[in-house]
Amino acid sequence: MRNTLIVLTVSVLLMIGCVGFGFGSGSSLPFERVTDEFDFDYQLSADGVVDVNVMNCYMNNIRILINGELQTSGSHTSSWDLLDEYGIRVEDGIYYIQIMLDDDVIETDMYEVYK
Amino acid sequence: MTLLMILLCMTGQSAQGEDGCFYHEFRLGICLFTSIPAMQMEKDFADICSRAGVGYELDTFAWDWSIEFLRDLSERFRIRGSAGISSFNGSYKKYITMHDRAFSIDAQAFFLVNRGKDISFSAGAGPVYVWVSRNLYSDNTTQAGSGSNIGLIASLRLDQEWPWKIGNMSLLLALEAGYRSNSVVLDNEEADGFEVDFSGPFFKFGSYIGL
Repeated sequence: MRNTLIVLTVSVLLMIGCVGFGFGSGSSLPFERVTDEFDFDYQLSADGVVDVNVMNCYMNNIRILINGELQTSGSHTSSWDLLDEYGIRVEDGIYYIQIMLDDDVIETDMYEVYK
Repeated sequence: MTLLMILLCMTGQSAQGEDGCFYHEFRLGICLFTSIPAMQMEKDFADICSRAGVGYELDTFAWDWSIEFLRDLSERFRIRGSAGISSFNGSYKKYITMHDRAFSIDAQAFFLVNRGKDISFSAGAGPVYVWVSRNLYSDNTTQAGSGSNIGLIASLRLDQEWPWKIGNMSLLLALEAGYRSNSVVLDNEEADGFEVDFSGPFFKFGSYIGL
């Protein structure tokens, strides 16, 4: 019984320490790390014309994923194969996916792309 | 304007310092200065980061240091040449860091508006050549770009001759405030028009020894 209590106490302390010092799974990062093609979700609050672009760290569009497509409100999924507009894999680095509804940016997501 | 001032220097009076003013000395100095660079595209980049939920923070000030030489050409004209490095940073915690660096070489001609025995006040302008690099680091990646351009710099200086000497070398202290215009568009293809703009007002402190 005493040993069990010690083990429980140590476990709880370790968990508190891990959370407190940020040694978690890394899921708290506000951007994703990707090495290969991936899917991403986005929500539309209304029906409308959707554009989805990939931008590099110089804020230049390097790929159009969805170009003026009429979509209904609700949840949608798309994907990026890490290729640019010429079909070449992008250099490692920071990229953004920008989702626009009727020419208004409704969501921007950051990704760290590396091999 | 610089050519005109240099011409005026060449044709200007080249008097000795009979009144005790400090003429014709070659001075070498080190300066520390700070500036408020425009960096509009870096601010736009920070805005995009914020929209993506990344609290990316950008410095307000750029920090600089330079090695400079001064030479009086006449009672009223002085030239200054300098080579310096400026740095401007941004970061998101330890995960993403951005370093903008500028290596600049400038040449300025100054007109001494007021010249006393120990203090002088001058105004000057000249061209500045700047080479800029931008590096964005994340845990697993590095993205780098660079470019160069020629800009302009204009400033007002207050120089104070120090009453003591270091051996035979005189000491001059200087305060300078001005504005520089030196934005640079990065050359690399993926940057495509991205501008690193160190343009802005600056404030400088320098100390020089007379050689």
